[in-house]
Amino acid sequence: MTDVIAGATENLSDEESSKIERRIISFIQKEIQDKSIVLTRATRREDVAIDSIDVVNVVFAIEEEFDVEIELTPDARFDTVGELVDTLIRFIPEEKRTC
Amino acid sequence: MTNPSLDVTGRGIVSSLGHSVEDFARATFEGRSAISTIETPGFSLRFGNGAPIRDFEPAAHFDDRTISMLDRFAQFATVAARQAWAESGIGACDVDPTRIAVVIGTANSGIDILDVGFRRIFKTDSRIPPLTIPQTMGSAPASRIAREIGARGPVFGVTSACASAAHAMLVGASMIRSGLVDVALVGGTDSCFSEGYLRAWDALRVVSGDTCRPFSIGRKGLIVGEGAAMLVLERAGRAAARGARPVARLLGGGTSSDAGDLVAPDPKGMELAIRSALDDAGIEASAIDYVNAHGTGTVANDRAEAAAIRAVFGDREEQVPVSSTKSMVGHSMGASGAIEAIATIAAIEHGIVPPTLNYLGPDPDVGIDPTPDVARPARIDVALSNSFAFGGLNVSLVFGRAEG
Repeated sequence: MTDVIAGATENLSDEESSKIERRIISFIQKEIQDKSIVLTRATRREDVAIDSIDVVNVVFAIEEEFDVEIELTPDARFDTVGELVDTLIRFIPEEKRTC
Repeated sequence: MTNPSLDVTGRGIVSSLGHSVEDFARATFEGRSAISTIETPGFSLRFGNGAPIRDFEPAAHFDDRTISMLDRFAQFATVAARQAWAESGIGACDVDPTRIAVVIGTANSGIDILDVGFRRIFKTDSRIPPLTIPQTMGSAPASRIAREIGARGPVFGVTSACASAAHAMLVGASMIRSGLVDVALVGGTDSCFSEGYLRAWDALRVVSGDTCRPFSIGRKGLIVGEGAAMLVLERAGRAAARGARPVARLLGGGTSSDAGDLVAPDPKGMELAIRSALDDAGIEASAIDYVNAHGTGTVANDRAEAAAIRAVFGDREEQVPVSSTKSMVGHSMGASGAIEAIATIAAIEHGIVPPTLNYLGPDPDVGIDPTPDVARPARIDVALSNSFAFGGLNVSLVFGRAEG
């Protein structure tokens, strides 16, 4: 999975990158069932029990927010929140990442 | 031959007259009405009144994720089922999970999420919620309830328009009688106030422009309601064995088909269902102390149902008391049979015939006693509850006082 997402945010400045990442993480944060967990890029999937329903809800929320199509199946593999974030950001055109 | 009766050990309800059996029963005895002006933002209807559930807060019962998976009708059903299961007192070790059935009736299935989806598709060509399919499923309430109570036996939804809940109760009872299961959680649910659904009823022109006046002169049609109600049925004697007291008995039920018109009722089909129910319960018509009618308030239903009631009970010296719960909560479609079963059991339990509201006077085409406006005290040992659906699908159930 890592090779697929490599370089997803390489064209963005540090500030822009962290801003879009924070927004994506906030969408994931809203869907997870244990609200006491504060997500970071390093949070491991098994520690927050993100399942296929959560993923499909996150995908829908991001599609609505950014008006994009995200070709990601609910069973997509990722080990950390950062990997999921990077995968999702790939589907958001650069001009929309700062809005 | 008389079939064995079943114990009713749990009840639950989400209605426009309360979200507990106690509140709902008290409201029916007091003759309170939930029918009032409905809001129709951005569209207009020929009718202006309904009986929606105005105080149901999903967040009070479910977390956000669960709400995203359950359409409103499934939420109503689950909340009612939790009450029923709690009242039954059935614990985790009291029954083999593979011998618990869940059978839930619905006329509409997930119509609210369909409304949302179709509006997005056809009006704005936009995305629809990802969990639309599981939310629309008519079997979704049964699946959710099975998950919550751990039922691993026969679990499914049934549909027969306005008799859906009654068919569900009869199917659950039949599975217990046949030996397939020991416990059945049964009932019905429907959510009825989406724009598309209201406009569809408007098109049919059977909704009253004022209020619901079952069996009355001057009645103008039904009033749309909604809700859910559930019963827990058990093989007779199981509850006593674990020290629980049943709340009533289901003595029997009958079902019939008019094999006729899709909307026009047939008194012969209704009569057949009532007679089948009496036969199944092993009782004579004279044993019935109260009839909770289908009583929609349409000219055709009430005339046909009254004819069926007269045909079965007409040779009694005193008229059997009849009343219609729909005069208070409107027509809750696939839930109505279960909501009215709760009203019927409450009438038996408290010895009160609930009234039919909004009565203007006798209709010469009706000729029954609809208990106008004010409840009456009465000893009620055995009562009949009718559900007669569009499409000529009829169910009558006979409930009796709990033994002991």
